[in-house]
Amino acid sequence: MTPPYPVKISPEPSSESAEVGTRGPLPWLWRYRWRPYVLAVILTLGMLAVRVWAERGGPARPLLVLLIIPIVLSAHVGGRGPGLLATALAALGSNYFLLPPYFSLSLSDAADVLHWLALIAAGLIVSLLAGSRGRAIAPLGAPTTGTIERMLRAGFALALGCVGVVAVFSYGSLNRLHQSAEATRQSEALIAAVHTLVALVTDAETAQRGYALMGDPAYLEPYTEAQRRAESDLRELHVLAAASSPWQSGHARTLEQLVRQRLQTLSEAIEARRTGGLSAVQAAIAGGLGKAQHDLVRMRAQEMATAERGLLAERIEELQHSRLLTTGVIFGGSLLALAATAVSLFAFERDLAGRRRARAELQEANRLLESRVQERTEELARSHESVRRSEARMGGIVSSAMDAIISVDASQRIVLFNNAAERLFGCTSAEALGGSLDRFLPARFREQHRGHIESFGSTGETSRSMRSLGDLVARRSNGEEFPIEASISQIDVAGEKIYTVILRDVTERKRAEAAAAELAAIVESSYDAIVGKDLNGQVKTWNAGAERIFGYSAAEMVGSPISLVIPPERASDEREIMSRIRRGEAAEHFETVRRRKDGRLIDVSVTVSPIRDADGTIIGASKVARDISDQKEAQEALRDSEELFSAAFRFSPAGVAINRRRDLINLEVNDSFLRIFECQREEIVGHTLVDAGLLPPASVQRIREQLNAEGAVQIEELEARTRAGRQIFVRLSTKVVQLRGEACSISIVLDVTARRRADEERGKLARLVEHSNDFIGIAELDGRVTFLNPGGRRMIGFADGADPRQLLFTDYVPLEWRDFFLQVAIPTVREKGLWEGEMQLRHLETGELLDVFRTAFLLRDGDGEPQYLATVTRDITERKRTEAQLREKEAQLHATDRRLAEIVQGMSESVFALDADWRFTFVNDRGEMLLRRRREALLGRRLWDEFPHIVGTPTEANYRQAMEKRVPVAFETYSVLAQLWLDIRIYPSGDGVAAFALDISTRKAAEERIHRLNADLEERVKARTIELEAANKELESFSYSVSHDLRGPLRAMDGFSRATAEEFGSLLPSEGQRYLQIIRDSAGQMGALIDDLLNFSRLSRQPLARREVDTSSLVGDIVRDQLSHAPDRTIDLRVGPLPACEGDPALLRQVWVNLLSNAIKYTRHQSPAVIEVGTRTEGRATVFFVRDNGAGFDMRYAGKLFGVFQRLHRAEDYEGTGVGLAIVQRIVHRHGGEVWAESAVGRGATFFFTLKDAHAD
Amino acid sequence: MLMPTDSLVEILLVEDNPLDLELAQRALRKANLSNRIQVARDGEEALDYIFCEGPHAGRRIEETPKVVLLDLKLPKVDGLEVLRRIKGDPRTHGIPVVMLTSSREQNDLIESYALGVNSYIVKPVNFERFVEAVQGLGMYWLLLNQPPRLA
Repeated sequence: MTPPYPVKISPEPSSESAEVGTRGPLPWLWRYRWRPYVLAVILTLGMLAVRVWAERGGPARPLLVLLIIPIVLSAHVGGRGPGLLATALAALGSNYFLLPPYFSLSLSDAADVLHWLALIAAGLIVSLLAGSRGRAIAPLGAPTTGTIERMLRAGFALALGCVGVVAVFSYGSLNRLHQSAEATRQSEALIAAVHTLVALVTDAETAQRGYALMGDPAYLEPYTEAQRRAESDLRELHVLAAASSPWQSGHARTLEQLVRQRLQTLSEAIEARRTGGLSAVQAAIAGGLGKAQHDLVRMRAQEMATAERGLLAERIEELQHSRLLTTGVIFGGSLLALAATAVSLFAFERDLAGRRRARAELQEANRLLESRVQERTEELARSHESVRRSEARMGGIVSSAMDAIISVDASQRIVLFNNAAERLFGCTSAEALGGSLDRFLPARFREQHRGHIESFGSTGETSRSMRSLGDLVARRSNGEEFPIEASISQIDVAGEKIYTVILRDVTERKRAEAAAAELAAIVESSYDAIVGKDLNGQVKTWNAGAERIFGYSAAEMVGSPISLVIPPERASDEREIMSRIRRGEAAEHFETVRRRKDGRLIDVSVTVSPIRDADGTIIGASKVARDISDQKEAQEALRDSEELFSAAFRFSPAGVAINRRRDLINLEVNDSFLRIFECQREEIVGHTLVDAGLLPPASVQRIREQLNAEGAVQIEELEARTRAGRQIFVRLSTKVVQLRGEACSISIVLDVTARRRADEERGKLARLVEHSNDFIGIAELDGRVTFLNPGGRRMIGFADGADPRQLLFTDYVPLEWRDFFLQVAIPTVREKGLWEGEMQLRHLETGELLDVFRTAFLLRDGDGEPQYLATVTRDITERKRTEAQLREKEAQLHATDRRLAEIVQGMSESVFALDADWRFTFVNDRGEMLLRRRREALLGRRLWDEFPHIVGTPTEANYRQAMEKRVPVAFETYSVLAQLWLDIRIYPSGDGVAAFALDISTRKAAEERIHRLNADLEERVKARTIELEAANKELESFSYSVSHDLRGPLRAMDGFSRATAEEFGSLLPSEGQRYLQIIRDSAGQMGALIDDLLNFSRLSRQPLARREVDTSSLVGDIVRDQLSHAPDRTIDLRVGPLPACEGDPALLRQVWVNLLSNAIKYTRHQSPAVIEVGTRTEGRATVFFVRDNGAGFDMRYAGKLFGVFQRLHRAEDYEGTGVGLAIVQRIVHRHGGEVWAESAVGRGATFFFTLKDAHAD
Repeated sequence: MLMPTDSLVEILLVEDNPLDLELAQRALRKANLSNRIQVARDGEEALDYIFCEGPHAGRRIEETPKVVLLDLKLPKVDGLEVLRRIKGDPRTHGIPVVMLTSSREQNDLIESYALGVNSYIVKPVNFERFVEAVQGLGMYWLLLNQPPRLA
């Protein structure tokens, strides 16, 4: 409830904010922006100087690493700018661009370049990272952890990456170094082996020479030694050469061969010396073979050694390169890793410093805050203590008060609530304080109360009792209201009015007052006489009941002795009672007699009890007396009634049963009940009806429920069983009664079985009459109708609800039958009791006559006297009509039958008819033939019985469709029975069907033939297509062979003719040369022929790729091309406007080429040659033409013009193969067009062609 | 005829027709290219040579001829198959292959190019043009065209 103290949150002024402008370490440097740059220059130059001094003994690349130091320092102190400056200086200075020798940027090898680039890269990374760190620090005054972490991570990742690259690279190059060293060792071994071999051969040679000269076998020792060692040396040589290179391997083989040959030669010479002596060996040596072989060995060996040395040199050089590169990478990578690590450490260190500073500041701020909190706490404690003391004083007073004390302020908020108030209102002070007083007031008094307080406040009185306001009511916190007494006072505290109410719960007092009043009222209003008397029998109080019972008024009796109402003979009673009272005992409900004022004696029931004062001393007696005279009379009446009832119970013809509702046990039944249920008393009494098997449990349950709901049940007919199990029906009335304080039911049962049976019988008969279609009527003897069943009403058109009494039985007998009816039929009935016969009735509404068969008879009463006339009449109109129709139809049928039969019999179709039951009703002659059965054997028989084989076939379905849907059905089927194809039509006819069947076997056979032919044809077409495809394939492969194989011999002819001319031309006379030329020309021409033929055959195989062709540009191209082939001709070629057309561009090009080249060819002898290209329109077709003024041809041969190999000119006049125009025609035809020519000999020719107009179709 | 040592072969001439073979050799001889020719008379021989099998088992496959002049119609294994095998093997697919054939069939041409032939020349009937073609080929592939160096 206490409002929270306002908490002031004022941000601590940051001592860092003044230094926000500082952007890095060593702030003094930052006062002048140029200072870090100067520092960078000085540091770098200093380090360069150190490096020059360190390298005075010669270049020492690793010292390059020193240059990273000034870069890192500059970047650390000055940020990006100075760092970059230092990097630039270091880069230029490291390789003598700035230092002596000046301006000689010397990057001698790859490693140098790598080092240099690594230095630059490291410098750049350091500078950039330092710069970004500066930016990250500056705006916040403390490093941003995220940025620092990223930088650290990046730095260490870079370092790790570099180390990884170096490691991988080092491993690779170590491997390479190892391999190179191995190869070098092998090369050297190879060279040594070659030399050894040569030396061996030389040794052997020397030995041989010695032996040859001296003949002393001792000289041969070096030879045999060489022979022995040669084998192993050669093997080794092979192994080494194979490892070196394939080339060396080949040479090794050659060398081996040479060495072996040499050794062979030597052994031969030695053998010659051994067998033939000196002269023989001299001859052998003089042959010079040995020397030549020896030279060869040496030469080959030399070659191998030289080659291997070359290889060796190459490998050593490779080794050097590799070593250099490795050094470079290791050094550069290390440098980079070092730089990255350095930067990361810088960043880390900065970060730590920032954190330390931040932590210190935080601690300081905490300390300050704590001391302030301490001060404020102490202050609060002091003020709290003083308040507590004053409160304790007040509290002692208030809380110990017995009355509730509540103080409210001017706004009626409770500010004090003492212990007594807590008890009174059932509410703790904590809950009450600060709340409104309203919660302790019933809602209806709240406004009023507020008004009182305010008016009290305005009076300025200091205190007032609130009794004047009437009964005051307060409200406990649980909502209970209770009466109070209250006084109110007001005091002024610090200008604020405090009202203090002191109140007391007066509930108990009020209650006591109320109880006393109530008691008095009860006594006064009691129906019984209540009399108070003292121990002497003097009446003290006399209530209204006493006045009524005894007739004395209170005024008369108070103060008088009670003996006034006591008859003298009962005086002793009174004495005895009084003595009991004195003993402190009560006398309860004793019946006695008293005397009224009018002298009449009344029976009363009296209860007398002692009255005690507050100390418990008996001071008198109270006497309550009730008049029981009426009660006594009633008891007498009851006794009489019971006797009556008992007699009724015993002798009632109805069965009566009394049972206990609790368990349905029968308490009593009368004799009639036993008779109805055919059982003995002991079988029923003490059992339930269900147990005794008299009533089904469901019925009992139903009765019970109804009793519970309504208290009584009446069931007209209840099905039950006698003890013997016979079904009976009873009428049941049950009612709930109280017997001896127990809920019972009394049931009265009447046996209605006989009535029920009679009712049932009657009901059946009535239904019979009700539902009968016959006319069933009853009339008085005088003819007045008393009953007419619905069937009869329908028959004569008499309304259902109408009273039949308005009818006379003659009303519906037509006039012509009335005499007969009244004079024959009715008298017969009267005399004989019965009349039967056919007659007619008249429909009351339509007047229609009905044929009926009528039975009329007498109904007699119990004495056999005629009482009523009754009739049962059946309408036989329909039957009569049908009979008549049948007769008529029969006659008609006989007539039509004959006619139809004649027609149908003569029909060429088989005809038969079936009725609705599928029985044959007609079969014509043809039908007999078809069905293979005589007519007599079919008529009246069922189709399915006679011809069971069609059951389940589509034929059956067709028959049924025609029959059921009443539609004509036509179908064709093969009759197994007749071995024929039949066209069957089934028509609905009457209520059956008629079937017409026509033999269509001939037509079917024809159809079958056509079908077979078609299938056959298709088969043949398929086969032919396959054949054609095969032929086409064959043709294609034939063309292919022609193209490939025919040209081979031609090429040979041409080629060898030319070779002959070239190589032996000088030996041939000119005629011979001409012949050779002819051979070559012929071969060439045949080649051209083959090409043309192939083109021609390909034309028919290639599919057309139609599209829009720009004829103008196509012809333009071709014209240019053709003219360029005949540069020495004068040709006037006029090309008119040519419309675009649709076609295969490649093929159309061929057409134009052929036509134009022909035109140029055949105008060879004209000067100038005039060739015209143009179009003209014929109908809807565009006709292209090429006209020339050349040789022309005789139109008589125009038919041959477009044939393959057809020529109209001699080959020596105009060369050609005779295929060109055939190709033109083939292409034009494939485009759906036409080509033709017009010409005359010597007067030029015009070739026309059209292409299928794409829009023509 | 002098057979070149394996490592010096620059032209593999695959030709079954002896007359065409002689003419081609003559043409190459005239262009001073004859001492570096390996002749194969059918597809199988050509494949044996290129893939160092059979009689050429000792040859190193790395020493590829600088150009293969391949006739299309060959006994045993036809030219297209030889081409497919050369171009389908990573060790040999860099060898330039020129189809040298008398066929003008489109299908052959299309299939050859689909298989990666480097050039396709129809043998002309006219011998002079044949000589020109063969010589031009030899000069181009041996002298002008620098094949990619095989590692």
